[in-house]
Amino acid sequence: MLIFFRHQLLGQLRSVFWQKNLIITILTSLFFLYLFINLLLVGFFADTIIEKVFPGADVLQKANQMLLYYFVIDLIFRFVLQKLPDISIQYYSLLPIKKAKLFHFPILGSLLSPFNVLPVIIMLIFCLKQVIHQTQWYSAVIWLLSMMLIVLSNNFINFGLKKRFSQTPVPIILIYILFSGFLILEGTGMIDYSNHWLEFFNLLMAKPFLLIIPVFYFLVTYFFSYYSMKSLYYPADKKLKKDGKVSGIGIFGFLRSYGVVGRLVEVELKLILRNKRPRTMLMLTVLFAVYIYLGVFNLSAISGEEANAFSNIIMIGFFLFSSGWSMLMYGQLLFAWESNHFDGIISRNVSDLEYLTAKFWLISIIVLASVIFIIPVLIVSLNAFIIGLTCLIFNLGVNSYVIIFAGMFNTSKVDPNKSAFMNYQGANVIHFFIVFLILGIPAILYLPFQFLGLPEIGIAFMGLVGICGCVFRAKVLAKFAEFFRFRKYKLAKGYKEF
Amino acid sequence: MIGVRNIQKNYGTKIALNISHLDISKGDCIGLVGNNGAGKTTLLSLMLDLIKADKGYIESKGMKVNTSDDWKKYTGSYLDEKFLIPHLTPREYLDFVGSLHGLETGAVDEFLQNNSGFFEAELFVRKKYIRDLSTGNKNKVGILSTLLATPELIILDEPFASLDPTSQAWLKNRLVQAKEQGSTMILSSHDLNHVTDVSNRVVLLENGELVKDLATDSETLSELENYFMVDR
Repeated sequence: MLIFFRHQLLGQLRSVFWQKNLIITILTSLFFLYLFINLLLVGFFADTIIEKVFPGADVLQKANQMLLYYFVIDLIFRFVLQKLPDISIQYYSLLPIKKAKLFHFPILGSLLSPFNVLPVIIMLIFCLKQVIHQTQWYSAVIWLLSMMLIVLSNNFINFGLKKRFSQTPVPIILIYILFSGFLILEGTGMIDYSNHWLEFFNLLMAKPFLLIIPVFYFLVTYFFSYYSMKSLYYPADKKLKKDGKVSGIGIFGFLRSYGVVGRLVEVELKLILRNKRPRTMLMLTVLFAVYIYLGVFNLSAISGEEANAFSNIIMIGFFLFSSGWSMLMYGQLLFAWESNHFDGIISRNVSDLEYLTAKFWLISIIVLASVIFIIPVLIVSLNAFIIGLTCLIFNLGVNSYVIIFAGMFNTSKVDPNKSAFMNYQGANVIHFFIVFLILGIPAILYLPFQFLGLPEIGIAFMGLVGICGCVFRAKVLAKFAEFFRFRKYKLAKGYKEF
Repeated sequence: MIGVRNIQKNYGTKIALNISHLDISKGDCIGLVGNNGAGKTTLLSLMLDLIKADKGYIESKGMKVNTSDDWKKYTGSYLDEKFLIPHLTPREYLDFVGSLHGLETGAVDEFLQNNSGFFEAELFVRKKYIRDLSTGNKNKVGILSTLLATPELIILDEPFASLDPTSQAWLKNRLVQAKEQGSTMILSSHDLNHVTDVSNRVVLLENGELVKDLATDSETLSELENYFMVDR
């Protein structure tokens, strides 16, 4: 048992995540530390916060009432963010350990996650600071115990659901619908869940033997995850289910008439469609479209007023992102997506120039597809539409090269078929530079004109540079190909490590 | 056809490969043998311009492989799974490789028919991505993609590994046939029997150095066996 935990800990300490890049590691560690301290402070000042928000309410009663929401939100967060322990029981399945015992390891191992440790600490703080002064000591103990049991039950529910439905987004949609239904019922006052919950909780704290209910709940969820794990023990069974699904066969046939470059683009579009991570990113882009449209409505407010310097700059930034977002998302790992078969591409009958040209066209397709974000702007204002179009041309003619060039420096391997959530594979300092350049270059080109009071000429200049970039495509790509000839060894080497 | 000139490749302080001179003429079939770490894969990777040489160069038909793309037109190669595109089906992959050499779908059909002895018929019918195939089947797809465009130069790393006995026998015949058609071949293998059966020349590497360069005859197999048996 202890050995298992030791291996799990070693697995985390030796994770490639830490070895990747010092700056990224420090930045993310600082971010998590910041988050951790914030959460601790929330736990410590929970009582004051409640008093501020609900003046006059009984702190403990209100807290108990709100905990129901907390548990539901916690479950959703877990489902999106919490990772299951990496250690596969397959490694241990051949060792002389009882099979039944084996399934307990990863489930118990998942308890070490910050998603469990943090709430327990926060609740302990709240319990010591508040609960213990307001009730009998045994009620406080029961409060703490039942809280912990319910939080850990969430852990097991998440574990079981993830094991069972790792391939589909069904459970997250299901939870979302359930939660929305719950909110509607509660909000319209049809069923007053939180008050029922509160009554139950008060009863629980008054009658210690009722602790058996959370304990029972805890055990049920534990065995739910246990049996989910057990039913998926044989890896071959999992494989078989996947068989027979091949997507995007006929769609890209038209690309074949464009020779080698067209073929390469076809292969990569299939990569986007057939791998988990880029596919999820594609879906997120669609979600992102909603935000763009919200932005468009706000723009109508801006352009309705007298256009000032600030609104122009905001608009340029907004449009650079709306037509560049998907390019940026996919492009930051431009070559790394193909790290699994990079050797195969560079040793086949594909010249470096053809390969880079294919990358350029792929980015162009992605950028041009984002035209759908910009067309509705026409309804709002012609001026904004022109700025949007200029930014799109600029993305096409300048920022696409930035993406390709910067992509050549990212030597970390990426497995495109891993889930997109909380996935830092391929994360690199270069990404910060890419964002910096994509916004920085247009700023350098445009801002001088803005300060001279000639914003129209500034925008025209940006467009001109973008068009020049498109016109001189062949020249630029030929230069890049010369550089790629030396870079590709570094990429190939990086993709082999792991 | 291939010329190795003063080539050296280091990993850190370790010399992985150091060959001053090796010529491979047209129609040669080279069997590359040596223990693990001898530098076989390093040599093949250098020939395919996958890694950068620290010294020297390799030329193919008189052109340096690291500055020209011409060799890619007549070279078919398969070193490992990294040559396969995991999200394509085997058929899509062969179509892709074929298209790089200007082959139409019909030509790929014909090729598969002519080589049907090498694989189960379902391999190219089933709707399965390459990443879900077994190691043996991946190897078969890779080898088929190498032979597809009847290349003048064939480079294979451990082609017999993880193949079933029938496929091994088939591949041996197929390679002999390709040799008769004039292809130049470089194969690495740990199986001394297969190597001496197919090749007309055996190159033996040890610790990155070229130790032996033998023309294959009836004695070669026992000579190689003796070499590897000896307590060293």
